[in-house]
Amino acid sequence: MIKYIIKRILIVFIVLWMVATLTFFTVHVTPGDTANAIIVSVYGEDAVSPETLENVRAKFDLKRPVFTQYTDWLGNVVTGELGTSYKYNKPVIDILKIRLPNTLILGFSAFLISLIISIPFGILSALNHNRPIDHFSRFSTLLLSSFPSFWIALLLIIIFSIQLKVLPVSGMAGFTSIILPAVTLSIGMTAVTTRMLRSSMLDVLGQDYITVARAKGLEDNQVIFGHALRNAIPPIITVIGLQIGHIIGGAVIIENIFAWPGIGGLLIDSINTKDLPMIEGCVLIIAFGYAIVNLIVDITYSCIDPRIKYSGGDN
Amino acid sequence: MSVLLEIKDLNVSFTVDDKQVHILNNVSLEINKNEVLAVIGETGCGKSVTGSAILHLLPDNAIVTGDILFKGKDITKMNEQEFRQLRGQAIASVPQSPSTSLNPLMHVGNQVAECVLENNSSEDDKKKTVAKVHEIFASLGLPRGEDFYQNYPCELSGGMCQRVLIAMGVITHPELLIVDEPTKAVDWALRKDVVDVFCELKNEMKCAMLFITHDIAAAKYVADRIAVMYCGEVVEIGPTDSVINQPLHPYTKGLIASMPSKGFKVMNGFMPSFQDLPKGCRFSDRCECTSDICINNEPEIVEIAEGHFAKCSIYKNLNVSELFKHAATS
Repeated sequence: MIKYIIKRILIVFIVLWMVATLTFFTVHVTPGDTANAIIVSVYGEDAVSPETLENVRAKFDLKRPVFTQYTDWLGNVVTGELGTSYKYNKPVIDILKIRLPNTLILGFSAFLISLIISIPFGILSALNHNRPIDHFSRFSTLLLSSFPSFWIALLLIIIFSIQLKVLPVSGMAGFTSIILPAVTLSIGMTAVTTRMLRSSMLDVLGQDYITVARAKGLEDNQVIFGHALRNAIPPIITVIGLQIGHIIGGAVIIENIFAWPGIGGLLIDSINTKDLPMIEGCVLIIAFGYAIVNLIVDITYSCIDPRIKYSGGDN
Repeated sequence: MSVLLEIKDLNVSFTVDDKQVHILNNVSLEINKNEVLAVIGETGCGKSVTGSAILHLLPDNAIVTGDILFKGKDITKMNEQEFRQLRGQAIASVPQSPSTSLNPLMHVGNQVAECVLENNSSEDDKKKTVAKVHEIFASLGLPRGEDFYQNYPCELSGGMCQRVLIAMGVITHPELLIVDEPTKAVDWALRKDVVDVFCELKNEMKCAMLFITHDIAAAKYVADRIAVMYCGEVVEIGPTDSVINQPLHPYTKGLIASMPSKGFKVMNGFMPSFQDLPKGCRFSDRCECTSDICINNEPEIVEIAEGHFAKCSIYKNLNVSELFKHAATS
């Protein structure tokens, strides 16, 4: 098991290096002058002149060959130094430290809401297969997962902020301000998890060992929670893992609509201003989140399912 | 001997695509206390459906009529809550397919222990149950000790899984054990071991068994009486020696003749589909002695010798001496 974890951690670092390298060169091949973008974003169009451009290039050492910039940057990253943001003129790590918790708070609130709704609904839907509650669950999850999140966000703002005036439209001030973005973000996740849990439970409920559990005279609760749910959970963990990765990546649209100061908004902003150290910082955090969550998912999987442990943990 | 389980005119249909498919047709059986009744027949003839009907484990689309009396009480009239007191306790089962019948994510020891433990069992009860599980494992030739208790099914061989399933069936000391195809998923070498285990159980535990199998040799070895099923009907039932050595129904004769030790003569044709059954005798299109009566009329079950019944029109109009003569010459 320890060997397996070490192997996976090494893979995480390789993934991070590949993602960072790809991002670095992708940003460099995109059209537009970095110095020009920095001046426009900080001082406005009028400040652009050959002199200011030259100053900015000198300040951020942009004249070096691209490959040298890459090796210098990579050397710094290895030592934990992510560089200084061109736009904010502050260390990238300091800005991430402020923005990341906001994204995590929003993401995990949405994640919690989705679990609270999807687990009971998924189970109920499977246990009442082809009955009204199952039809309702399938229809509503299909409907909700089909709506684009920006449309749901606007609908919720119109109802709860403009008409009823019970929740703030945007920003991050107090507990109430997280409700609308978290609910919006959770809707898609809830729909996917409910449908996955339903189909996974249906599959498990048809297995021989469930009939055997009933034949033992066990109570329904023991059959459902002790046998069926336990076997239905592993595929759900994969989906949940991907969703957590998505959360860490920052729900870009939701953060922008609700002006939530998280990683997603920061990344979009940095791309617009060609703020390379900031882009790299955001991408590294997102990639690290995905990789770590996937690692945790794989380890959890092998802890829950002994068959995976015995096949070497590669499944 | 007193009757433990009595099945009277059991009919089971399944609703498929708004149509009713009639599977079990007036199945009537009796199992006495401490008696092993083997139910034999081809795959798909309704043996396991009979077992599942007794255990109330048929799917929701099943329609069950007829009576199943356990110690005189009709269990078909019991609600799920009442029947749960019997299921797994007085009436237990050993399922088929050891590879799929054990929960893959649960220690095998716990799977056996939960047959006895209640939700609110005390720590003391739990300890006693664990000790009992170890004892049963040892008595079934499985390793004793915590290591084996904490194995997952994927860590065991097919034969070991089969024995764990047997342990699950017998830990509650049931009065009736429904054993469903215990030799189906085990190889030739293990088959004898498994049959031996049931013989030991029969002698030591003194519980009655409904031994569902397509393995005639195993049935011969374990059972006191044999019921032969074909296409959802009991076509012959009688003492083991009598059924094996003097089969009456043409289907039983065909089955016996197809045994490797009896010449390996394969029967003609296949069992008809339950959705397209012959009008008269269900075996008529494969039978070598078919007549017009067989094609047009459903035969009645007739007692040919003491306790030996056959459902065949050949025997309907014969007097007693002719019956014996026919049975002896055939």
